[in-house]
Amino acid sequence: MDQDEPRIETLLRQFQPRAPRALPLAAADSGHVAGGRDQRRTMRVGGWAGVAAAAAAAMFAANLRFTPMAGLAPETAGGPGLTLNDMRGLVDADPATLDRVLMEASKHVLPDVESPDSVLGRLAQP
Amino acid sequence: MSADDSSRAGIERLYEQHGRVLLAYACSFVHSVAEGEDIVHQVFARLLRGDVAITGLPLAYLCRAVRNTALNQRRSWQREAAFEEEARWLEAPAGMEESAIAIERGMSLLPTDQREVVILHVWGGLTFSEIADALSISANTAASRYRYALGKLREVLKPLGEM
Repeated sequence: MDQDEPRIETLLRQFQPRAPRALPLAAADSGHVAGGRDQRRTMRVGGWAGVAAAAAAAMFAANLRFTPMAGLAPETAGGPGLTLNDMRGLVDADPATLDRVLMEASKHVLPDVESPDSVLGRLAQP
Repeated sequence: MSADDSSRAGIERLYEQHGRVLLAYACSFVHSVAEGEDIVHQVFARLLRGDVAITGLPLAYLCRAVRNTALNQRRSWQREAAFEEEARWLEAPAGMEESAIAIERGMSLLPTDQREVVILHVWGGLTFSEIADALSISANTAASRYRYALGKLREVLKPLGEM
């Protein structure tokens, strides 16, 4: 036996391995052990689920914004026979037609600001 | 295994008693302390759920379970095992931090079969016969691995003036 062995053993025994973190008893009870690695994976999945939910909420809100007001049917938004989808298509395909359609539709759906008897006309007076 | 060890309190007591050496042992097979903790937790979770039961000497059984779990885990992680020098798995008394790092480095340089014998004998308090039982090797093999390992550690610790 090497005469240094007891000295090395004595030196090593001055140190002790660090203690592991507490046992996740609740996880063990439920049949699922979430170690640090699994917990991190679960948190990542939860994070992505949150991002997906936020994106879905944003899309829903944006869709609401484009929904015609109550009482205004999609068919009437751009005048007779023209739906909102048609108008979206015209944005790129034929802006001039879109402009003309909107001008025509505005007569039916927007308040007449030029009539002196209209509310906006009276508010606009100095 | 005694009836007491199979109870929840008994298993928790084993964790308190052997958690440190099992973590050090698990770290022999994986890259980081966090991965080592995951492995130790998996072993104890199976015991708590009653999926498995301890047979024979508890620490020897737990070492085998940690070893098997680590090797399986390592395959699933598809990574080469390396005892990371950065893995701080030793607690050093005040003023001996440098020596702790040197020991961790020395341990990282040992082959796995020598490293596990050192951990189980020095910090686990197992005899060579008990280590032989835990690792399915002969007691003489365990003893010779231990002596080889100490010889290598001595070389690493010499520059520090510890030896």
